[in-house]
Amino acid sequence: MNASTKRRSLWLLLTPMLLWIGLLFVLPHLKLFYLSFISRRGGEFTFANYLYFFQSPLYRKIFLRTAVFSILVTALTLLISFPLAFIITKVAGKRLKMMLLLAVILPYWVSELIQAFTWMVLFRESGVLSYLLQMLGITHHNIEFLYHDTTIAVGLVYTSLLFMTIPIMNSLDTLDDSLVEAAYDLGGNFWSTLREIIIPHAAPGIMVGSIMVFMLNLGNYVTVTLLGGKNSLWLTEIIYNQFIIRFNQNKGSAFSVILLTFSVIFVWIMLKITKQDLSEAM
Amino acid sequence: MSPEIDVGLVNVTKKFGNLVAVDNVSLEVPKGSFFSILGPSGSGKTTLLRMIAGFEVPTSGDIFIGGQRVNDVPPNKRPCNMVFQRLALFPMMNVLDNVTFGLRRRGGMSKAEMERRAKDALARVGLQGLEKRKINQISGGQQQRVALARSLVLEPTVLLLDEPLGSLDLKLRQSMKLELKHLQARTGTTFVYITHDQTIALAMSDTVAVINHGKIEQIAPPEELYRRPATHFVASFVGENNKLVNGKVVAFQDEEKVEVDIAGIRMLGRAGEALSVNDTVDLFIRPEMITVRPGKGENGILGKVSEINFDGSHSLVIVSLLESKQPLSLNVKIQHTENAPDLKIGDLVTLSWRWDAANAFLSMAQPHIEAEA
Amino acid sequence: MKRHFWILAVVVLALALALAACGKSAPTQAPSETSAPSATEAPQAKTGGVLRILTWEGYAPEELVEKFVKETGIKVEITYIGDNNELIAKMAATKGVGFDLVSPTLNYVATAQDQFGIYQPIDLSKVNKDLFIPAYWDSILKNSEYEGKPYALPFVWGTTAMVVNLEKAPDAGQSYLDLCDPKYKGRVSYRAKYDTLYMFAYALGYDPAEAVKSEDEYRKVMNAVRDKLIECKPVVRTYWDSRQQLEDLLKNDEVWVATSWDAIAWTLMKEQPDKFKYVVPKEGAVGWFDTFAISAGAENVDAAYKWINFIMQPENAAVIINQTGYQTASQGAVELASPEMAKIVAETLPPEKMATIKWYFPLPPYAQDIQADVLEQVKAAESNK
Repeated sequence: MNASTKRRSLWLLLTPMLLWIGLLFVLPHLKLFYLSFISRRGGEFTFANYLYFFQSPLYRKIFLRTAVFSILVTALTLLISFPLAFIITKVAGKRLKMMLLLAVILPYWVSELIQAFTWMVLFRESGVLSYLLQMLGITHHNIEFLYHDTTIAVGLVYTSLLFMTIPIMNSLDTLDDSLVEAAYDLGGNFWSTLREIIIPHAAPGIMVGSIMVFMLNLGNYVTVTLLGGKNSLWLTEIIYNQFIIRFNQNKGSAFSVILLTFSVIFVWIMLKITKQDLSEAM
Repeated sequence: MSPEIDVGLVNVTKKFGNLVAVDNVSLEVPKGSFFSILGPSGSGKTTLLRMIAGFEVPTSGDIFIGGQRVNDVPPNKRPCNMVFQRLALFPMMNVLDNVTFGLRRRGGMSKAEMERRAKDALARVGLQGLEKRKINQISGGQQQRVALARSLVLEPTVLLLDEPLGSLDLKLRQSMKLELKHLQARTGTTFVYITHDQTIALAMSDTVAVINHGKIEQIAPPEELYRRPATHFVASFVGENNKLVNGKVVAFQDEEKVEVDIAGIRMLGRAGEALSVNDTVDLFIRPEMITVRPGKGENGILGKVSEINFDGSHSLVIVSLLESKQPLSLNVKIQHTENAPDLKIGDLVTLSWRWDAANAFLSMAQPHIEAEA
Repeated sequence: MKRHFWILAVVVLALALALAACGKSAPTQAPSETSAPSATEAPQAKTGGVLRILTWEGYAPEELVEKFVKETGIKVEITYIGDNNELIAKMAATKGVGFDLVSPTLNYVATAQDQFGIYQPIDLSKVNKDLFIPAYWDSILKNSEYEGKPYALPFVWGTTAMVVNLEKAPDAGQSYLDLCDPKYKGRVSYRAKYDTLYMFAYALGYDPAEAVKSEDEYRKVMNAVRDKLIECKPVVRTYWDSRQQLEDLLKNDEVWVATSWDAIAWTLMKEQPDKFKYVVPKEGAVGWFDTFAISAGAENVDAAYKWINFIMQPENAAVIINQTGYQTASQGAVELASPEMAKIVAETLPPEKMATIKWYFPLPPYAQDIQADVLEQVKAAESNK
């Protein structure tokens, strides 16, 4: 095969992906970007849609809540996923490994909606957990676990676990065990080995996992609404309201662009923190 | 434990489930010596080393380093450091940070002091000016040196080396081999080196322990190991040998000097272990210890040259024995010196050797792992 | 190389999932209300074309679709919606192309036509007027008028009032303000939707149907409702979103007093008559009327009218009544439906209560915004619990 045929077949192979990204990702986002700078009535160029968002204490509050919550959940997920991934890749025997992996993957055999409903059965006042606590004599009346921020966090962490664990597993898989032994041999202890050897090695996985989990949480709707009850307002719902309830594409677009920009900033910060270069991580 | 002994193992056994990886091993490594543990793969030598380093806990027995019992001391607290088979350099750090890693863990030292010591250690292994390089930016030989420097900078009582030369190509391995020996002599650090490569073990070591199936076969200086193997395994594993099987002990000329009948030919040899008349034995004869005289002579075994393999400094000559009841041949190594005989295929020759160049051991009942001849 | 590809794949997947999650924000409703297209074909379908219907779950039972296909040879494709705004958004995106027949709620018909022009006028000559209850026929034609032409026909109607647990809160249901009574703290549920806003507006003594005609006036009324709802937030347990969710809350005794669609309450009453009751408080039930409207982009208008004339046959409409518990505008259908249900309906919605029904009123665009503002503020308010 000569160079030009090679190149041609490469383009041929890339075409479906380029079309896919172009038609489903780039074009709609360009439209979104354009609409966000257009006034709803009159159609002239304006910053009003953005100003409206940032001048509204309500929207600022919801934005902050969504952002802080997503970051918090990402951090919590990382805290749980990292040891889990470590155990699965480095410590567990074959059987335990399979069981843990299955435990991580199994929830995704049903949709997020069903998952959320399962959680409701578990956590509701007349639910399994409340019943168990009473049976064990820890409490004597029903306890409602739903509709708290904690419940939302637990639910989100749970639905995010896989997306954090798998990338970290992937990067830990390539960690030569003798590196850890060498660190110990040279006088390192658990923490210094973790900090200087294991975490730097797993950094690409941590980064990919965090980005993925953060974006999933930022864009979550079902889990937040069902588990959060009356205090669950999320940024996505505000965007939904703009598009669907208020028929205001322009403000909806502006809010979407804000969400997107925030995601990009988060990714950038993650790359900085983990000292990763996007092209290097690729 | 004598203070002159840096590493001591007393009746150390390690079992993995039903598998006995190390079986009741005792040995002593004198201070400042280059001690090798030689054995085929699966012989338990790596387990032995990992127990000394602290990565494995012995099932029974005691381990001493520098006179202290270290069974309960974790690896990061033991006064020994290890150079790993695949080196295990930290790819996320540069050369300098790799070397200072241990010092940083130890603490109590200024950053400048750490760097000074690290550079000093790097200089000792002949590596300068590469401090800021990433690990993947230096060559395999340079990586070896970094790995050595990383351990040596901590001035360990004992340096454990897990076949670190194995991954190098032949030329580099030869030169690193010598350097390692010089380095050990210079620093005076006790080296415990494990390998399956007998040429490395014989060339570098003060003492070699041969291990097989988790058991120590012989502990001796290289030359003694070569000339006076203590067991059938050592005789067949160390160095090249002619192995003549199923001989019969006919008589003893003295305590050690034994007469063996092999396929109807009487040969003299040294009894490598306790033998008695009528025992079935194998006789091991070093090819370079056999003297070849052209023509039919006295006091020797008559043979005919059937093959000559030229190999530069010497030739390997295969001689078929003419007086044996079954077909039998011996490999003979001839140095190409001035008075070396000029041989052609088909020539009649007479073979002879000093009695103690042949070692007799009881035949193994079961087929044995063949040594790499 | 392999690993690099993997990381790339993961990032792409993450972006795709994030997008999907954003796009997915729509299903605020429970699974029973998520939209899923379904098609039914009769084995011996003649060449009658295809009828594409956009409607609510339960409004086109499979049983009736099969019967229709058998009778007419027209294939039927159904897409379900969970929300009137979703319906309008779907239609507005293509100016109605892709659907022939839709079932918007009456108060959304004229305003949506004004904003988006997604419907076409009803051709009365193609409809069998005798199938409809005359009072509904007249009222719906009149209330769906836009530029002098009717745009909708009556189909299904229902009310929203309160459901109470007779064992735990026998006295509740006198007024919608019972939903704020600290006595029932943590045992109350309602929707964070417009119907709740109307109920509270009436309970606070306003007439939102009148106030909506002026933007300032409507904002004043809705702000008063908002303040009341924020004040009452500690009392409410959670805002319910779907039929299933409300039923679970009630059946598990987690909620004693709630707003409810009549059909939900009636179903519960049928199962446990001593425990649950549909109660219309003194302010009156809120009423809604779902209609038939023909899409502006309809490709099979004749089939749409055939469907209307088919579904409004009393024996067919009775199937809908039995399956959903909703009432229809079909003359004589209720008599064919289950007598048990008819009894419950007559008991809880007697003529004097029927007279107090507050029907949904048309919403000018600013009203949508005001309502959304208020609901967002209520949801974002701290419940200090």
